Amino acid sequence: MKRSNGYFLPKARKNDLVTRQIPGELLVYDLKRHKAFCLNDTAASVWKNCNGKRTVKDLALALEKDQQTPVDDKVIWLALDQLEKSNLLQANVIEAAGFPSVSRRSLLRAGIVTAVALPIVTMIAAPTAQAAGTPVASATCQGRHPSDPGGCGGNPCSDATGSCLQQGVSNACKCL
Amino acid sequence: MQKIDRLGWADGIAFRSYGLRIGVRVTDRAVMDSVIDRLPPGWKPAASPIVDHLYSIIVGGQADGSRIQRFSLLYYDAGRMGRTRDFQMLLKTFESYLQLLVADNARRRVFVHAGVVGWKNQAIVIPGMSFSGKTTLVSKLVQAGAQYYSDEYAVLDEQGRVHPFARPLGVRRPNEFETSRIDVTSLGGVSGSRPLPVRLVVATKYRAGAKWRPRQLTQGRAVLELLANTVSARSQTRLALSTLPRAVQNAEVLKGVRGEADEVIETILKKVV
Repeated sequence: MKRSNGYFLPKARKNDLVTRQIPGELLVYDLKRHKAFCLNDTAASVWKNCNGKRTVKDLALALEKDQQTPVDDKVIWLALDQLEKSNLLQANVIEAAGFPSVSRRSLLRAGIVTAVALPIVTMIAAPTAQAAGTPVASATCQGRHPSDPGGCGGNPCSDATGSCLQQGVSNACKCL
Repeated sequence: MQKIDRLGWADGIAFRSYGLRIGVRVTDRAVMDSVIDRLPPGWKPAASPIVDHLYSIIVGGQADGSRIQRFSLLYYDAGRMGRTRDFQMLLKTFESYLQLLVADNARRRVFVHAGVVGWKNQAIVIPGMSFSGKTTLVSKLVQAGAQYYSDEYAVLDEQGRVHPFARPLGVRRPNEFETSRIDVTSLGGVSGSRPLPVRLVVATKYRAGAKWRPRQLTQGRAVLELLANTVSARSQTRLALSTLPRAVQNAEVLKGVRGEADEVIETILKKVV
């Protein structure tokens, strides 16, 4: 994000991301953090228009044009807040701008209800292969060394509670 | 690896599974049938002995004239994956790691940790982590007449259709970690064989006493729900992100906690028309 004559120019992060447009939503996968995001139309429109040259006002105008309805600047700030928390912008927007934090609730309380859907960014952490599979039986874990490939150090050893503990002087692992 | 190679290997097999070339060798020929029984559904013998992934199983037990019970060991390439005196447990570990290897590296297939049944030529997919009650729900659906596809992985092709991964159901008794294998025919069910389009995704978890009041998810949220259970989400992200939206494009996706499986079976089946 840059500062230009007092205006804030948020820029979308493009590196290490995989995107996939589906009807009404945009899927974004962060290859660095292994997190996946689902942006609704409003959040996606704001994110796509963050090119480091548009101000918040410009982004509101672009969204207005997209959705053919007036858009309050606070909706853009809410989108930027969520995009920034998801690490989808190149810099910390809200703090740098010194703008008060905006929440969906605060917008609704202030009576800012627009025809535009409020921006929503949903996130999940992508699982490791082991986490997405059925855990290895606890007996397998008994007596193993944590540095064994795929062993307790690699985390697939788990039982119902998902815990794996290093035991005693031998460094053997034991599932609890 | 050389140390392992020097051991006396009595038998072995090279096979192909979902585009991977895998080998297994054992120190005792007598266990080979049990090993073959644990290979992933749909495996085919490979013509060439050259493999990309190699498992080595050292069979323990009591040697003649000795009271010492030796460990059975499982290696994947040079890394030790299992060490136990219970050979059946070692086989379970082998099966578990082998399935994970295939699921993570399969070419042109996306493996989602999920139960799957076929109903009226469409698939019902139940994604979820272990202990979420997938197998219970799948077995009840099979008993209600649905075709069995899998209780472990939904195998999706590039068009988003589900293929069968019909290994015996791994049923857990209450408060037990280990699973017992049950053949689907013992439940009065049959396994499906044709790939099916996904009609319904049920993201649910068992909670005692809960009422089934699911909410519908958007297509994007549905993709995230499946991605959270996709084995190769990190290793083959692009394939997953192109396949999963196709899988849910014509599907209804429901999410919510459920109580007993019997209470939701009818509702779930009625959703597929």
